Amino acid sequence: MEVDHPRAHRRACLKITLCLLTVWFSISFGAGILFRDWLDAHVPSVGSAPFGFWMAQQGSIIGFVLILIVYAVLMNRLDRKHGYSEES
Amino acid sequence: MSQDTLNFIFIGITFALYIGIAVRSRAASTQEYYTAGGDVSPFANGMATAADWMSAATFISMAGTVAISGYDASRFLMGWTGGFVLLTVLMVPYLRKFGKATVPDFVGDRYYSKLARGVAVVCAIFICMTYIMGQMRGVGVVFSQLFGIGIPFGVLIGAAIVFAYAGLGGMKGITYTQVAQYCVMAFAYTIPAIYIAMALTGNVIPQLGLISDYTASEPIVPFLQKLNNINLELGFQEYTSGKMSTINMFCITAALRGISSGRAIKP
Repeated sequence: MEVDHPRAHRRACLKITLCLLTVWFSISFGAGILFRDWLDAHVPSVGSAPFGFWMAQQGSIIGFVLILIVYAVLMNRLDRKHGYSEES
Repeated sequence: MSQDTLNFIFIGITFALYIGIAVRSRAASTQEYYTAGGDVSPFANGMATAADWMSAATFISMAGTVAISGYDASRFLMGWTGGFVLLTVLMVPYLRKFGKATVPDFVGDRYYSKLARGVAVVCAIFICMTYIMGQMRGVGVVFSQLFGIGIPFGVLIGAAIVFAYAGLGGMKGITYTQVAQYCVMAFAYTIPAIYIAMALTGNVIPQLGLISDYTASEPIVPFLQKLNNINLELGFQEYTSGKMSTINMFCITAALRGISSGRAIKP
């Protein structure tokens, strides 16, 4: 069966982007700001830092870096699968 | 040798380095001028972007702001870095795949519209102006402190130097001077941070030092608790508790993200 490459690529691309942006929102705005107090009280501390506070100061930034790495890996794989990689 | 002479020597060497790099990597064609000929390695590019991020504001005042306002300053940490995620995921890949160097080019071609292109140009100029105003002020402050001259003169000197290497080298020159800047700044940031972390917490990695124990003197307490006490004694609020409302934090973080991703629009 013929694969509709542009459409499939676009759809997969949107899915990756939306998933990662959801993670992005929840670790920073979610964990660091909106649910900070709840997390401080109910989740075990990181070292001596309450969890919500730690997410705001360090955790979210570490998370951002991971998001970018995951994005790069997934998108490269997707581009290769649909024949859009830069080498070809 | 006096402090001033040392200052002059160091600053002279640094600028000679930057301008030397710019002259060496002079642009040969228009395409090269805007995109560095496309042959900058991802690693060098990452260092240049990081140098861009660690701007005057970060270097002069970020550490102090975070130290004073503690949790409230998380809005800067999360805001500025968070914007880069937006940028990388939503904008940059498409710009790259489209083969355009600037956002106005991209917008104009993508939407088949001169008007859209014009709007993008106006936005870019507006963002650049506001951004540059802050940056150049920072440059002026640094120079006025170093040379004992007025801030306006400091701004003029800084502008002249930037004009020299940006005008000569184009994107390639800027990228490689920023790589050099990155090395200088990363070095200047990490050495004191590591030293302080070792002195106060016995931990080589500052990030781990923050969440471990304060060991420099008795009694040994969690480092954050020590920070809270110090901040309270100095009359600020506790490091770990913010005095800003949740909605305020949320909105300012969101705004800073916008700024951070908007910065990419600068040509």
